[in-house]
Amino acid sequence: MPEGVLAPPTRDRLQSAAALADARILSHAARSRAIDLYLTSGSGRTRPNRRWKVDLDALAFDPISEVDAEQGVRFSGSLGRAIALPLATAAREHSETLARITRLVDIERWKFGALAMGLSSFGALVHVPADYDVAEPIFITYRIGAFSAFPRTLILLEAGARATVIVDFQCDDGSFVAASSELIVEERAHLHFATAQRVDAKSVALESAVARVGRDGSAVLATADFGAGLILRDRESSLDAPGARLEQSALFLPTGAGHLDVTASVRHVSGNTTSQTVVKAAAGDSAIARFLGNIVILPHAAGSDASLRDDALILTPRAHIDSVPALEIACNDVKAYHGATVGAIDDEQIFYLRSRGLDESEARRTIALGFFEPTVDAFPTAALRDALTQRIVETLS
Amino acid sequence: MGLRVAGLRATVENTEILRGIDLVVEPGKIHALMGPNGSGKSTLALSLAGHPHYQVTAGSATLDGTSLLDLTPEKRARAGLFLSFQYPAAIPGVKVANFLHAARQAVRPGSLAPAAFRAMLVEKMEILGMDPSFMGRYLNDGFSGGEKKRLEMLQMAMLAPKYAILDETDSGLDVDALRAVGDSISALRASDEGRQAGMLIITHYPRILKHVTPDVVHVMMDGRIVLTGAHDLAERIEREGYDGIRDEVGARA
Repeated sequence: MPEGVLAPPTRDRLQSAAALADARILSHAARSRAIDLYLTSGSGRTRPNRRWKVDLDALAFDPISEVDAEQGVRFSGSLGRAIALPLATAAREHSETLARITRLVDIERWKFGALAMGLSSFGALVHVPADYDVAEPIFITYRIGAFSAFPRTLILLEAGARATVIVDFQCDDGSFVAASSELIVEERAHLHFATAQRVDAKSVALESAVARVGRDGSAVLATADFGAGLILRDRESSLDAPGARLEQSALFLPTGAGHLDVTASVRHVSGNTTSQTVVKAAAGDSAIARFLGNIVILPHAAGSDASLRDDALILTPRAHIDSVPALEIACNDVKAYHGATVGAIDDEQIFYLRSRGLDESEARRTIALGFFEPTVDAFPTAALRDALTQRIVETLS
Repeated sequence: MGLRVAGLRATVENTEILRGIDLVVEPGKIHALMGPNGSGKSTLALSLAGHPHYQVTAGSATLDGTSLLDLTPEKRARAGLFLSFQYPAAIPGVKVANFLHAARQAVRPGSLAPAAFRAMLVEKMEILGMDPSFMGRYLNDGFSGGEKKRLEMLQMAMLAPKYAILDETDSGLDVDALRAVGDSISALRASDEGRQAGMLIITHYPRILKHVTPDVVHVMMDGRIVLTGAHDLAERIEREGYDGIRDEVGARA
């Protein structure tokens, strides 16, 4: 956890940090508004209690980012006709695209989304033109070090476009990151968006993400979170038109005194839309994880099909996982499924594997890797999946 | 040589279930262990495999001279013991093919190159009438009863144990699945690795014995083996049920 070297920044300090940030990315007036929204809106989380030690409504951090707007972001992968630019460059050359995404996403609705907006000094824009398939994954690397950073990732896939985007945050211990992911998937487009993060004990990573999926479009969103720090994600996906599909997965494995808090909301705005949410959470040491899965099916969204599967594995007696599903269904003709389990590794599973020659630690590792498998499988490249598997093995051993 | 059990007593949660079991399965022989529900057949199987819920309180069990009772379950498997579970555990997320490879490596390390392993797998699956899509499924996860038992038999074939205990592998199977189990046992005994395999087939009903002919039949009641005979003992049980035998051994005791 971040230690008490800093007090929560005052309004004046936040506003002066916002005033220092690049006005081409966002006007000072808009930044000032966003900072006020950050200060006045609640995180929607409970206050600190016996288990949850962090007050998300009074986080201490340095609001001035030392990360260089151009050097702090790196792209790799073969883009073809797609555009991938640092946000500062995109603000000069593609300001209309930025404004369009910003308007559709409205990330300021979230406390930490408003913070990312108000202070954003760098980030990335990925824009794929209509019917273009970016065959290779696009990697975005944010080089943050031990500083504060407020990166925005904006992605626009025009009609029929296809792309895979992988975001990597390179942080040292002591970093504070409030990031946004603002994703527009137009009709028939397909986006695979993945991010894996390990947050060390003195670091904080906050993400606000919105994905909007158009007619017959699809999005696959995958996250994997590790570490002993604080990770919070507010994610909302909106299925805006018939045929829109979403598959989202979340892998949690906090350790140490790590705090991990994810809210994933899916809004079936239109009928004949499909969503699948899979969460696999395990916690070790005295870590705690909270997952709120929120499925909303609006009136008129007939024919929606939503499923939410979340499973939690408690690895040590002091670890704690809260899993809270919520289904708000305002339409009759829909399919909605929810299933959840919480428990430790089953003795019968261990014995079964041991009876086949695996020793106990191998058996436990096999079962735990199997537990996470669907969420590892949701990652787009074999190298990433192998790295995640390796990280799980290291974390468990 | 042989799987030798002598004077074996075992308890579950302080209740004695096995009250002195004596049994010798010689290499290459098929034994059937029959008996009514609750007679202790599964307890014997799980005790020999080393299930932590079963406490052996007296007696011995050796596999080709190696004492099993001091070994962990995995070392018993590596010594050449295999248990086909009556209720195999489901392990979501673990693909059958990966698991089989890990198990084979654990039990018979370095004995097969990957290509040879795959060839063996294809051959054994054909014998069991299993679709290749099985390999990508998660271990016993969402499997029907018959699929689970076929997978147990596939594991037996791939691990080629010295001694296999089949705990009610036949229960709940249709005729085709029963035949596949029988074929799988025959195939193991026809292979180089499995020629000398000894088998202890635990069953409640004699149906499976139409597909596999046992050399020896034991009848177990109330935690003891009360009668041992040849193949015709199974036929007698089919005709008379267990009551006749209970009366006979009860009268003798």
